[in-house]
Amino acid sequence: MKHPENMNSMTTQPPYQKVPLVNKSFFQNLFKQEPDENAIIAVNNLLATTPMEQINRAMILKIGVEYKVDINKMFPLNMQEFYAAYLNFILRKHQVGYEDDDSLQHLQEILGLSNEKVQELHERVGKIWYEKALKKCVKNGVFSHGEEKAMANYARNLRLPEKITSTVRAEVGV
Amino acid sequence: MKYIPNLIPENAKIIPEYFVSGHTTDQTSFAKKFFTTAGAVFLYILALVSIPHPPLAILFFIMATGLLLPVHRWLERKLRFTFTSVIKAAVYSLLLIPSFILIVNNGDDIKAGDKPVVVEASEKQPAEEQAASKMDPAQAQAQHLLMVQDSIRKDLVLLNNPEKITNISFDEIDKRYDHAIALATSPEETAQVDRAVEQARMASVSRLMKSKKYQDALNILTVLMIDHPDDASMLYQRALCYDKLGDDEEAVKDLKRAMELGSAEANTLHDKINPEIKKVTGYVTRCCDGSTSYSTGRGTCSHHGGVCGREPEYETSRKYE
Repeated sequence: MKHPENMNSMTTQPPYQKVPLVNKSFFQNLFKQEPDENAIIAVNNLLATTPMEQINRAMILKIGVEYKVDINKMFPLNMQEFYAAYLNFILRKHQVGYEDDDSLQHLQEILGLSNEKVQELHERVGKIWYEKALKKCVKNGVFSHGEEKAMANYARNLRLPEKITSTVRAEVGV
Repeated sequence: MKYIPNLIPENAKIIPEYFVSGHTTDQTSFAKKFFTTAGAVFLYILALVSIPHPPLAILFFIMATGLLLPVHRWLERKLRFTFTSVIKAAVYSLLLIPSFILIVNNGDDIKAGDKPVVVEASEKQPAEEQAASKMDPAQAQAQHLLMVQDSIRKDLVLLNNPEKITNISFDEIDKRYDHAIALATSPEETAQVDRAVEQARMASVSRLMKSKKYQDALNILTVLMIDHPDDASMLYQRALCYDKLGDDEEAVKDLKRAMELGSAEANTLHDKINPEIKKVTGYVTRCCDGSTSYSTGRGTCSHHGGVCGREPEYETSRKYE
């Protein structure tokens, strides 16, 4: 698992990079078909080359139409990964929570992700950050009242439910 | 459902245990699965039934295997394209064409007596020999004769059937003829086979001419006319072929011979191909009493009631004399 601490070089730029499109095979050329994977690569390249606020849902849908693919149905994991990577970027950038919540809301909208899926991603990513912060707190062997209060605040900011925070605390031994 | 890895830079990746390839789910509908499986099973059965005809069996086997969903997906993966319904329909149509040709050919064999007569005769031979060993020689001879006559009759039935004969090739006619003539024991039977085969060949010629294969028809007619050089009908048909192939001189030769043999249709065609050419050779003076004079001076027709007119004199010829 990649630890968030190792990503300090990635605090200013969104976590997307331009990727070359896949070449067509002989049969795809023959039947005038486009490689399916180019649809998600095109979405990735759009995120990598265009400021987030200038992108809208229609642009993503247009890519799907161009490649004759329902992107959300065919590449759901990639769409979730785009969101998770950006969420991690925001957490790394602001450290304490989701000040950049508007851009996350916008990204959820353009990627066409459901609230349930977004909450799941928040929990998965947030758990990593919460665990890291908790470990830092107990590093010196003392877990003060103030630290406990701060961690409760942090868990709220990360939208982490009680169930997850208690599991993490149990794992860390608090 | 697919997952394309490595779109997110390595140092920005998060929860990699969650974002892994291989999370594919089968979204094929039950109806599609059912119909493709049923189609594949049906084609496998056809392949099994067609085992006596290996090319047909192989074609059905390929079609059946191609319908199976895992094979379908394997093809898409290996050849890197989407095997859409339209492409599948086109591929199967292309595979069905040779299948139909093979089925039709096999069907003809079946119609013509299930198997070629020669094969049939050879298959019957062991059983025949066994039975003959049990019979007395006279009985065996009679039995053999009956079988030979039956075999000839089959060939004759085929050769005399205009519907069947149009579907079999000239080579097949020759094969049937050779078989029947080899088995013929009496001059009557030989004559009967000769007549039947001649009709069959003429039917074959008509078929070729209808399909405008004049050169093929001409070749067959030329072979047939070795034995029938004075057949007016064949001469006329061959002239028609020559005419269609642009060889009027040869056509006229055949037509002249056919005309000598009294063919009216040959006469008509000859006039069309080789019409009479009239050429004016001179003029003659017509006197008023009906007589003619070659004189041109003042006293012309003076004792015949005077000059009533001048008429041209013609010489007739044809391009091919």
